[in-house]
Amino acid sequence: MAYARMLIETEGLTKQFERRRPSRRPWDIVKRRSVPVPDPVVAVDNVTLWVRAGEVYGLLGPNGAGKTTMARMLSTLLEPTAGTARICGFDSLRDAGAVRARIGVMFAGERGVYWRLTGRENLEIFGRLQFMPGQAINERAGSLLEHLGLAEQADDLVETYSTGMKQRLNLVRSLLHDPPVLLLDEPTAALDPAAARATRELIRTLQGAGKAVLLTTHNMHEADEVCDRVGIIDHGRLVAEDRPAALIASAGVEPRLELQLHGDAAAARQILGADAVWWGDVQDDGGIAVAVSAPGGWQSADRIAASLKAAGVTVIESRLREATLEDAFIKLTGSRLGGSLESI
Amino acid sequence: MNQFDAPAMRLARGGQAVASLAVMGWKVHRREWAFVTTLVISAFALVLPGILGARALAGPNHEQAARFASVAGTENYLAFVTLGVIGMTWAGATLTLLSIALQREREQGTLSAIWTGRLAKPLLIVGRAMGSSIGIAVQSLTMFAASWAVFRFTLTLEAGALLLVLGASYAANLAVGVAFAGLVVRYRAAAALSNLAVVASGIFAGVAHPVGVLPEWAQVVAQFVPLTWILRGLRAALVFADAGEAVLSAGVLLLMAFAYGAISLWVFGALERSARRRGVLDAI
Repeated sequence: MAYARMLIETEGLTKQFERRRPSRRPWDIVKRRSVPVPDPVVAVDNVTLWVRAGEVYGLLGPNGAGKTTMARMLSTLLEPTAGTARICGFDSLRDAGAVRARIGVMFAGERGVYWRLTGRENLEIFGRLQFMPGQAINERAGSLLEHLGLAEQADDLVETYSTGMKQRLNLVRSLLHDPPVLLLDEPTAALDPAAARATRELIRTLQGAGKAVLLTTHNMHEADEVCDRVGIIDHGRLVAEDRPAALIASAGVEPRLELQLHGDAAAARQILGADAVWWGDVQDDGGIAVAVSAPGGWQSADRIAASLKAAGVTVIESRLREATLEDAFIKLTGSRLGGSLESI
Repeated sequence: MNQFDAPAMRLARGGQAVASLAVMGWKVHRREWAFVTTLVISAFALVLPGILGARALAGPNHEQAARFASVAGTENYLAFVTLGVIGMTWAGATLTLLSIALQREREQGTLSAIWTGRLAKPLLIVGRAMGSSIGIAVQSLTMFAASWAVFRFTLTLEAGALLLVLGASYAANLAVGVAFAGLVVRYRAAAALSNLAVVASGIFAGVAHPVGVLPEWAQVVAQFVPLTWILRGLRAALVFADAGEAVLSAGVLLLMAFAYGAISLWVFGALERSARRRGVLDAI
């Protein structure tokens, strides 16, 4: 790994979008004209990263963090405002043609394939657009369709596919020409667990075949399972980057002890302190659910349980949860995907 | 570099990609029953008002046909108008359908998928336009056959010259189409502009009237509109039996294809880059 070629490199990559608002001047309202607002939207802010051959790099971040903008710049669909992006040594701006020959791109969702064509017809056209000969398209499409469980529906119109099937076909499309670099934007977002697992296995296989994969995802479990390294992007900035385990360690997040208690809630609060996270109301029968930091693992858990018992609070159930990438993400970005923590 | 990178191989594969796009475009159209039905019905509906209008002006017994001939050069106003409408459909619908197709590509997310392919973008547009053109060719032939079956107008046929005009007209259509595609790629609302361009060129080129009836300034403008020469070529080959005039029209159309093609490529490149800079290339 140490000497593997860098296939994806960005340096100071930045993208700003002009912000526009409807004009309030009478004549402009008639013409529905919009006017630029002075401060632009900074979608990606000075991001420097690299991905080697045989490496899966996960770009994690909440909605609007800049993940897809990064993927679009790397895939030549969007021109950076500043900085450079290189694929296999080719500049995405100056050598866009060479870059396109070396990337497979899949954007999130079920879009990206022709619904009025069959799955096989779609692959035929996209294979041709990558300058593949007919026989190579058929062979490669057959094997990929088989792997992702679409072989039986390959000759059905795509409009009859489920969302997950369309997304899998989209993934097959991006892999068809066997590119050295893959840019996958939330490839498992709409998939059922079995299909998501097959996709993750496929990504692992691609890694073994020496591909460089840039994977954008919300799914922390997926990133932890599949990625060699992850970068956390927030408000366009890469706020942290490392191997998942190292990122968890460096973020200073601790294991959490999840407790189901019974007894005096006030006493429990006094023992567990202000950092405890409570959820649900105190139940009629005195049941309490709470999570607390347990920096020493089970040793901390035993100590907390003993203190609670001494205060007359019964521990009905306790579960130690190791720190996860999601905990590290929350710590580093100060936000949670899809909601906020409620501390009492 | 991979096995597909040799220049000759790239050229061959590029040609196959363009052909595949054309076939795909036609397949997509063909599977939309409303589109096919509209093609056939509109074929006749488009040409009928022009013919009936001309017939009314020529009088019930064609007594005013000589007056028409004094400006148009022929009393055969039925063939004159029919070919005018067919020529405008042939030239204009490619633009319109290409604009619609690109807009639809953007909406269904396939624009970004095809844009990250290896085919040069103007060729991508040509392939996409050819897919639409197959439908337009079917429509134009239907229109011609239906009109002739009903009105039985007299035709002459300069077959070689006609083929030359059709080929040259297609090249000129595509040359203009690439610039329009650039507009659609850059400005989402531009798809509607193609209709405006088609109608305006129809007025200048003389779809149902000879160019000679236009004001002088409009006659000058008409010389720079490809449709003018398409109609001149079609009428020369099918109404006036003038192969020389048809070949001249084909030559002018080829010149326009080169000149407008070069301008279109430049315009397309600038607009496509602007779209990528502003992030509107694949934005819905």
